[in-house]
Order: sequence, then C-alpha cells, then structure tokens
Amino acid sequence: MATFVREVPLLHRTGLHLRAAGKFAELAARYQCEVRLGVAGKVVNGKSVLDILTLGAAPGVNLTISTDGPDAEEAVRALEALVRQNFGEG
Amino acid sequence: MKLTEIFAEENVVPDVAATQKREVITELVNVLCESGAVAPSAAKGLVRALMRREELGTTGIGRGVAVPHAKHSGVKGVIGALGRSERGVEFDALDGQPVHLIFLLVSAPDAVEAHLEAMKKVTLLLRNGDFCTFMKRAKGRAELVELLAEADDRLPPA
Repeated sequence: MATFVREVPLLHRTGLHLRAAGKFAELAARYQCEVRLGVAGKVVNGKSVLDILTLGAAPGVNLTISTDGPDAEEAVRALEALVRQNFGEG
Repeated sequence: MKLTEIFAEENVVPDVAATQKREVITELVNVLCESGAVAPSAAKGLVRALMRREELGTTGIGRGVAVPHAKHSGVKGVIGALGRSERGVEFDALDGQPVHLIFLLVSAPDAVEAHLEAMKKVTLLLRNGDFCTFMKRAKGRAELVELLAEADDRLPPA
C-alpha cells in the first residue's frame, strides 16, 4: 500500500459547488482507499459531500488530492482526471 | 459575509406551511418578494430556476437540511431565506429523510465566490450537530436568528 498525492488546479468556472462536490465524493466512494481533499492546508474527507463543501473551493485554487490504500493509485488518477475535466460540466 | 447577513431576519420563517418541495420553494421565494429582497415579478422565474436545479440532483444534502439554490440577475451577491419545518418537508433528500431546515440561496450570476462562501457557511453549520439540533428545536424566529448569529461567532472563519 502507498500514499499518492496530486496537486491539481481547480479551473472550473463555478468552483467546487454542490454538484461538482457530489461527483467527486461519488467517484471517491467507489474506491476502497482513503481519500482526502485539501485546499490551502485545510484537509477533509474526500468521500463526504458535506466535508468537501466546507472547503468553499473557488476557481483558481489548488486542490490536493491524496489517497491511501489498496487501490490508491487508480483512485488518485481517476479523481485528478475528474477535476481536470471540470467535473464533466465543460 | 455572515449568515445573519445572508439570511436577514425578515426572511427567516420559523414554521413553513409547505410539506412538499415545490411548495416550500414557492413559499420561501414569496417571502423574499414580500421583504423586497427580490422583485415580485421575478418570483415565477425564480421558482422555475430553483426547481430546474433540483431536477439535476436534489439539494437535500442530509441531516434534515436542504440548500435549494439558483442564480438570478436581480440580486447583488447572495441573499437567502431560511425555512424551518417541525413536521418536515418531503425533499427527495440524499438520505431519504424529510428536511426540517431549508436554506434557500439566490446568487447574482457573477457571484461565484460569494455562493461558494455561503454554501461553506451553511455546511459548516450543518456539520455541527449541536447547531442543527438547536435550530430544529428553536422556539421562533428570534431564536433562529440568535442561533445564526452564534454560528457566525463560533464557526471557524473563512
């Protein structure tokens, strides 16, 4: 097992709003590993929509995704892709 | 931006009459119109926008709380209405439970950060089980407003 960390710029024009947070948490929950999401030193459970919303992540911030567990590498890759693709919202 | 600024006292409804999603959204939009926060002519369009947002996925985020929201060009920044229901409102919430606290938010189309900030404040409040419980039990508008003010003082700053 290993820990994977990726820093990804949040470029989505509406930031990490409710639906985007929901997509992130939903994808994160498909993996067994632990998923943490951080902004500017504040880190929360990446599988919880509520936790993610408490970050108030606005466009332009850097998100730190870290995963730890058996499928951590696959998870971090998928979550990074979701953020880079602006949560599928164009 | 404080919770008490977003949810002005006149837009806090301690006991909503509605028991269904569309009804409660309409009731709270009407409150915003009556208080002058939103032009009455905008009411229908705003209800439609809020319901369209619900169709994309419920804003009933669990713990008896819903955060219906929409953009509207007639407001500056973010304004909100808070509805409380003792018996609960059917809201298709993620956890399947009726909602007792409805934090309805209306943001100007360019107020992206203010909207995220308002949502952050509401979710910080929501994650604090005590505040949630006290708000559900509050005796009236004054107590609800007091709790919002207390949350402003006690919740971690932005």
